[in-house]
Amino acid sequence: MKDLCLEAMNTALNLGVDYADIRIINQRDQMIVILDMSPKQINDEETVGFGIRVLKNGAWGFASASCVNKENINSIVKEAFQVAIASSRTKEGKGVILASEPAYQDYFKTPIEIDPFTVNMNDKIHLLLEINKKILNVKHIAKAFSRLRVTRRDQFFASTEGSMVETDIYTVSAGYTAVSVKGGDSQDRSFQDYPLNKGWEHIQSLNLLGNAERIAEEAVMKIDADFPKEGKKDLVLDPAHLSLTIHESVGHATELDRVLGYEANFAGRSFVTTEKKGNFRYGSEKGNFIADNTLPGGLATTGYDDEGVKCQRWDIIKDGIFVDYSSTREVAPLIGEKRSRGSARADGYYNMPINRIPNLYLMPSGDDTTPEDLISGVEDGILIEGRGSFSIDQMRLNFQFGGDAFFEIKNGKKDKMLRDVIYQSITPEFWGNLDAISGKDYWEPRGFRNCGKGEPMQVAQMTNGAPYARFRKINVLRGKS
Amino acid sequence: MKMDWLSEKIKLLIKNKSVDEITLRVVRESQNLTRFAENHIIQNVTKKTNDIYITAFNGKSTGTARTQDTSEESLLRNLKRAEEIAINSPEDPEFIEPLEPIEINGVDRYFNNARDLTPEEKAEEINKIKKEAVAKGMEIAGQYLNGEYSVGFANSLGHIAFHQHTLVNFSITAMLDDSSGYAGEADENLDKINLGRVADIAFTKASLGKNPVELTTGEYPVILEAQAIADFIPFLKWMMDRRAADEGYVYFSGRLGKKIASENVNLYSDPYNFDNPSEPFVSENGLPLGKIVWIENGVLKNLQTSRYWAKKKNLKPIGFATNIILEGGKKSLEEMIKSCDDALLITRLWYIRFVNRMDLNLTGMTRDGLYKIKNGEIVSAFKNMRFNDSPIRLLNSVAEFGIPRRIQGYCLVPPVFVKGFKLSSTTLF
Repeated sequence: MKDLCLEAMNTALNLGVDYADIRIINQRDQMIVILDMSPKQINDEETVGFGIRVLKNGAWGFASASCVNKENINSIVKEAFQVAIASSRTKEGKGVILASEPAYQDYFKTPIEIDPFTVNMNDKIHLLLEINKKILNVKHIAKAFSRLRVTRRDQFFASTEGSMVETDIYTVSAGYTAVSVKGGDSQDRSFQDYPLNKGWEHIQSLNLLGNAERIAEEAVMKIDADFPKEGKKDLVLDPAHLSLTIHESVGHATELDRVLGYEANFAGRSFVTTEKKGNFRYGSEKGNFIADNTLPGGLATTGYDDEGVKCQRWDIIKDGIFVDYSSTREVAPLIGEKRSRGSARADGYYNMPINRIPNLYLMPSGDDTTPEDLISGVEDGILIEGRGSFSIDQMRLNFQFGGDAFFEIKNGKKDKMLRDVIYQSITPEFWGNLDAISGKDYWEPRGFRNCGKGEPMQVAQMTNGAPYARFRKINVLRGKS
Repeated sequence: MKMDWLSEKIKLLIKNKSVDEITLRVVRESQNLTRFAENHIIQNVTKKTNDIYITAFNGKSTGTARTQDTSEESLLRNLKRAEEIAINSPEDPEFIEPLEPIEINGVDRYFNNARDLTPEEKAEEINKIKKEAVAKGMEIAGQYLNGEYSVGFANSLGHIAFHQHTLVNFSITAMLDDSSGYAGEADENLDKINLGRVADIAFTKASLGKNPVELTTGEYPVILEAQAIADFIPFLKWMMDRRAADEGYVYFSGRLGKKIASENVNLYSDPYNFDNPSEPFVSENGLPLGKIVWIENGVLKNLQTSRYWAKKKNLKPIGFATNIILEGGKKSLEEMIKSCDDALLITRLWYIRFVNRMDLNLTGMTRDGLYKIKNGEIVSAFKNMRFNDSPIRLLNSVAEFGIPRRIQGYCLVPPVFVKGFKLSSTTLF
């Protein structure tokens, strides 16, 4: 593969490119989906191909193909070169200028204890069948839906600046959902998918089977639960839930390409405009958000991003003040930054890398505050567990979230289950109402394998970790008419 | 990939198979994408992919392998992988045999002009629009995509199906300091796309959106443009599943044959519709698709029914349809606005999600143009609003339909004037 990478870069240099890079990817995915006791998907998939990015006259060209050989690579370099020349016709000013980055010769592999591909496919299927069996044994359960996915992505990256980096990344995830039906009504409850860049040992640590009955019973309890009383309430949010709120209202909002308008036609822009850097109060002083693509097990912990920038750790929000964005080599210089934050990711070999959310998390408190401590400080509120409905405007301000399970909090105690709770807020107001956070023992590296962005949409993965956190006076509504 | 290629490859696989039956599915894309933002091209991408799925059927077990390598060696290696999975997998209690051969009429929507459009030509067009935008003091972002797509299905029982089409998709967002306007067109035929017309709509919308003010939350009479209807209505169709209805966990439970919308609502799918053609079979199993009426004169007539559920319940299978058509009226959008005394006009909806599947309550935001109509004219603009409402409630409060428009090469839907649409909170822009 290294020889093919060098061949591509030599061809590009001979054509007279300003810059070029190549990614050759060999990816394997196993995906299993079981509905009730029926295997709906038992797939073993391989994806092999390469993408070449060329910068000429300050404009990009990109071309890709699935057949990896010398002849094809040389032809695709030339195609990307021609496309770059076409792009340069609408160039503004000097066009694209890349932030500098050292050239690396390196190899990075996800540390794993058990290779997930060495685990028998049949064992994986039976694990899910056992889960579904337990769920379906609970009275009033109509459906059980379980899923498991293991992935290995082996990527060679090379650039005309002299980088040659191989990254060998493993990701595993699993989860399930129980659907209850009773009295003409229906609810569901999930063991939320919990992906990490780890080996099979992560799946073993999840206690998937041990939670199946409880999840199913809670799906039934939700049907009989009361609706919330609408109005301002205090919320205590668990890590699985809060990870999504962070993802939508902080992660996407602080992608620099959005701020600059690159996604204005579809994925949207951001209210976190460049003059806010270093001085905008994003939320209360309790809120410290770290971007960390070196986080062990993090879904964006890949050693290097997809344009060969070494993974980093930096502050996004410090003591409630917005400090910095995620960025790529293209957009970082546009706000005077000398170096990219290493957040360029592409969905497969056939897409061009774009600015993506890094591993991003809310720091736990520095003490040993427990979730019960947070609840004890609430007179009238709701504990929300897991993810449900979610929606946010294209500037990342007005949002509405549901959840997976809801428990009323009365006079400092977790009380009865509720159903169909939604809450609405505006991003800086919401984070401004953050008043307490649990300690590190309750922090979880939750994450996403299906974050959508770009046009047409590209999928990326990242960890958005969180502790439990408490928010005062948030607008709660009933989600069912 | 052509039908001949598919036929040759399924023969190769049949010759080498060691399980009962096999299927071969191929999805091919050759796409040129040009994205622009901040008044210049930010991405110019050519993409060629072949996704080949081989599924092995062993007794009542199945297994699937996917590859992108079309070589004979790769196909045979992936056949073996699929067979190994099937042989080692448990029996599927919902197992369904592959389909026997059925004739499928083709849908011819392949245009060389769409396939051959070059990055250079697209850059020229974008440049012209950019100059216009700059003259108006506007910034533009958007995409201009063209390509050819094909999907083929074949199985060892002799059933074979193939469809190819081209696509051109152009959309643009024009922006001023406090407003934005969006427009787009998509078709298989480049000649049907008028970039100047699309850009003009976006420019006009951005101008009309200047100085937006906050709107009080509540229920309002609204004209939803065809784009907004195309954003909203597919959520209704995705829930139209017979098994889910029979098992009691979707809105449609117990409602087949009953009135669920206003009498003037007719919703159907038809891959052979001349104005909105689509793939005439289900790519996963080769099941033919024809015209299926979902809602007729407000009455729920059909629900998507899988082959398994159809067999179990002695029903006719109804595949997941590849397009949506909502019958419209005779007025243009402009005529609808002229005849309207007092209402809101919504251009587009964004980030729509289910809130509750039993009442089909959805939430989302307005985007790129929310206006006030007074005495037949657009008189002012509002900051964007969140909605919490259901497509069923909307289809029960239709006052008037306009002339349908094709959106995203998938929906043929009209602008709709509804008596009440629930807006639940405002945002800051």
